[in-house]
Amino acid sequence: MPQMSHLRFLDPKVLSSIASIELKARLLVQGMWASRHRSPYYGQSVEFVDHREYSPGDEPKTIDWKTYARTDRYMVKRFEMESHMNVAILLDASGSMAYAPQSRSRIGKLEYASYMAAGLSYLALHQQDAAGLITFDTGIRDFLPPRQTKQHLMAILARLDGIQPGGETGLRPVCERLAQRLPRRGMVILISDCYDDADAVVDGFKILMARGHEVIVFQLLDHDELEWPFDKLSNFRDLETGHMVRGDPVALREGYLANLRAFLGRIEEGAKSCGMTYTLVDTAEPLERTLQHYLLRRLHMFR
Amino acid sequence: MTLLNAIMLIVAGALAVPIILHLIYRQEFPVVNVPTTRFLDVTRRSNVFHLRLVDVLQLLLRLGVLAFLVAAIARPFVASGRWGPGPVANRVVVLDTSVRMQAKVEGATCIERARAKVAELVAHSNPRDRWALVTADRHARVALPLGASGAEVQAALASATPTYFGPAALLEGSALGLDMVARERELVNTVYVLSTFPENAFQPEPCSRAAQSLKAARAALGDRLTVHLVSFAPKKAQDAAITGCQRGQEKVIMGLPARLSPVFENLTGEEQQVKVRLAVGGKPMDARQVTLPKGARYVTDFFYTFNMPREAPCEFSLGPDALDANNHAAALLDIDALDRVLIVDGTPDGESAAPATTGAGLLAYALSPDSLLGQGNRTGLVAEVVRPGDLRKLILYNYKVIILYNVTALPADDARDVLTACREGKGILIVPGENVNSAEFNRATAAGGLAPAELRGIHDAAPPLQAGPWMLSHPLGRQYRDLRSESLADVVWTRRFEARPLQGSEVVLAALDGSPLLVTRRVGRGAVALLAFDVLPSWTNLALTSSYVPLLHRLVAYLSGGRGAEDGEGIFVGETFTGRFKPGEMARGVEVRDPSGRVETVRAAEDGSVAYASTALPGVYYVKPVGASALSERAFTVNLRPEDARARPLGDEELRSRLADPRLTLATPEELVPAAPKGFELWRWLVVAAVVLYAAEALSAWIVVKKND
Repeated sequence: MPQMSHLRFLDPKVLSSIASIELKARLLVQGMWASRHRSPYYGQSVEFVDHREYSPGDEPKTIDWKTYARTDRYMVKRFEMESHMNVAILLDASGSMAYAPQSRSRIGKLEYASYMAAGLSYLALHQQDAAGLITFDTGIRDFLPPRQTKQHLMAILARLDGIQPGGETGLRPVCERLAQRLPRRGMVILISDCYDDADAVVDGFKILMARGHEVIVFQLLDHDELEWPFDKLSNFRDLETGHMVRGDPVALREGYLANLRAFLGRIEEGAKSCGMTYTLVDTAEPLERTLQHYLLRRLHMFR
Repeated sequence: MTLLNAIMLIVAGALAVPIILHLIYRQEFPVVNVPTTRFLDVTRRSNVFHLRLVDVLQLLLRLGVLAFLVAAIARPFVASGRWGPGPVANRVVVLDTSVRMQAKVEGATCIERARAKVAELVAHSNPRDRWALVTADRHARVALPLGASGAEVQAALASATPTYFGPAALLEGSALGLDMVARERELVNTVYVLSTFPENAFQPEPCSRAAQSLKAARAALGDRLTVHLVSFAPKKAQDAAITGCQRGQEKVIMGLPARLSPVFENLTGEEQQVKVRLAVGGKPMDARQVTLPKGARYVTDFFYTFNMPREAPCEFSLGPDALDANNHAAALLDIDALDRVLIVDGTPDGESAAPATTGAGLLAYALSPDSLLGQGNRTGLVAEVVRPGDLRKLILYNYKVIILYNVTALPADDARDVLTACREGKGILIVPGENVNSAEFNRATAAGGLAPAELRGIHDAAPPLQAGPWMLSHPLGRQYRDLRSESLADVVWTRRFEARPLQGSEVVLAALDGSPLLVTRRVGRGAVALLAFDVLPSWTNLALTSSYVPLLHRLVAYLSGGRGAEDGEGIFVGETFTGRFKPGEMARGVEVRDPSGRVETVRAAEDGSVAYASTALPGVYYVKPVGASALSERAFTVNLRPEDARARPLGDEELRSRLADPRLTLATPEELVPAAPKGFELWRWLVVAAVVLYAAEALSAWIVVKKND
């Protein structure tokens, strides 16, 4: 059934490994519906926050009569409001994500990222949160706003199936644009190799953080990128720019790895300085293990 | 510098291979897509330059290896004037081993002088030279193939003994020698032809086989081929020689007298008394005293009967009180024994019971009396009598002669087999008898091409017939020229078949009234003879006379030799020479010059034919129209083979003309100066250089691989 090919992204092995783990917002989120995540608003949860003076219009049942007995003042009790969370998955669809690994035992970067996005979307929807998908290169290509319905998962999967990688990566303008289109605070999960100027990438992160979003960065690299296993004199073509470099990969390897490590360090450092969660993902790692490991680590971190 | 194998430079095309591979390799740099190249830019330039440099260096090394190998294969030779070992040369010696090389000049025979010359050449040549030896007597033989050493050639020459009296196969030998070197690629390729260069060794003209070989060798080698024709011919004013040996029969048959005829000549310019001796197997047998006019060639005949089948060495010698440059020669005679004769007896059963009283019995007895009497065999013949029906069981090629006695007609298959055997060189003797029906014989045997004459029935002769003269121009009749004691004067015929010779047949013997008694015809390589009578005493008394056995043996010898009219221009003493010239040339007759130099003018008939009967002196006779140039001169011989008449040494111009090569020169042994060019062949050094470059290339490749690891 070709029209159902997008269902392949719902890998039962992945889903079973993460279904029991909660993806809980670390920061306050602004949701429309009551749910499990903390909100900046007061509501009707069981979590008491504080008292305030009674003002006309308040419901009398909210008056704390014990406080009135002690202070002879009408005080109203306020409770936290718990709402659902908007999870926006920001997926890099630039040319660099189209890399096909040397080893046929591994899947490509975009494929890996799509599985990851599908798994996280499923997890969000499974816990009654809203999930949305944004693909980008130098700008936003496709924007699927977060929704809470189960049918929305199918829409996300269909969009994942239709991604055609291409173009360069421009994270800062994307983040600026995204900050405008996501008015409510929520969770932004970035899945990208971040092959842009490192300072611009970090600036983009800061913009999102400034809007109150919790940003989770999965910097996704193929194992070949991390190890540089090439050994034959070749023409190396940049998948984003088409730029060609001829050289002896053996001789180039040392310089390449040093430059890569420096780049990754700057991204990680920038992300952490903004209070973001940063994870370097190697596609050689099984996806279920990567997600499970991250979610468990996050759970312990915020408990 | 000379390239000895320049044609191999085409291998230089292989130099393109590494270049093409290099270009292909450059073109086929694999394109590898990577997510980003931003981390590679820093080191890109230095890496590519290094790789390209190594690549070009390796390419140059590979090209160098190939170039040196190609150059080594092309074998450059650098002439250096006075030093260096010189190139390896191919030297082929073609030696005339005919008896003319036994002629003595200044105390040494030609063959001894040839040996000394070759020894001198070997001493002055490069020790690594490749030698070959070809000997030429009746046939040319490769005594030592190319690659032998000079010492081996000298050893082979020491054992080479000239024994052959006929014209040497010098052309064939020269062609063999030239073919040997034509395929070689050395700088120096020399063919030495050592001979007296008699005219008869360069027949027939043009000498196409040798000329073609010479042309091919010249085309292949160009200036690198040198042909030395070294003449050891004795000077006429000082020498004399046995120049040939004839045998009366092509084959010497045990029990029959063999005629051995040494041919010798007086070249001194004075009349000489010459004693000619014959020795067989080292035992002196006969001697003759001969007076030789100045400049005359002479043939003397010795008759000797060999009693054992063997290879008999037969020697002739002149002197010792003869000419200054006396001579000695020897010939090996192959004495044949036990030739098989098949007698097909067509007499009806019952009539051939007693061998001595039947025709077939008389034939068999005459051919091999000893064996029939149980006393061995001294004639060398074995007669076997069969019935016509047994023919198909026999292999006819085992028999020299097939006698069809009293056979009217053979079955078609057998007749065809007999005819085929005759065409292949066997002899057929047809002896008709009472049983033969003439009409059927003519229809089946004569019309089939087997019989030389048709039969017209049996005629009784009253009074009895006597034999007329033999046809002396026929090889068979010629044998009766001097043998008066064996003539047929006592033989009479009371009955005979009337024979009508067919076209192409010759009546060798006829009765006095002209009735043919013996008719022969050539059939392919063989011959057929028909006796127009039965040998039974009721027909003729031939079998009762002493002429019967010799006649029958000569008939069998003639038929088994397959010889006929090919003797051509050779006649014997007393015979009449007949020739034919163009009628226009004959207005004033012809001049005949005999061996003594006497010239006689003979008138010619209207049809241009000439008859000359004054052939008393053995030797070479020259005939030409009166007033004509020497170019139209023809020669005939008396008591010589035709080819022996042309033993005159050839000159430069004649050799060039016959071998179609203007560069040929005839040199005396003294003029042949052994010299070899000096210089070096570089191929070894080029191979070493190629190996060194190859090692360097392998080392660089190892370093690159090691560095990559």
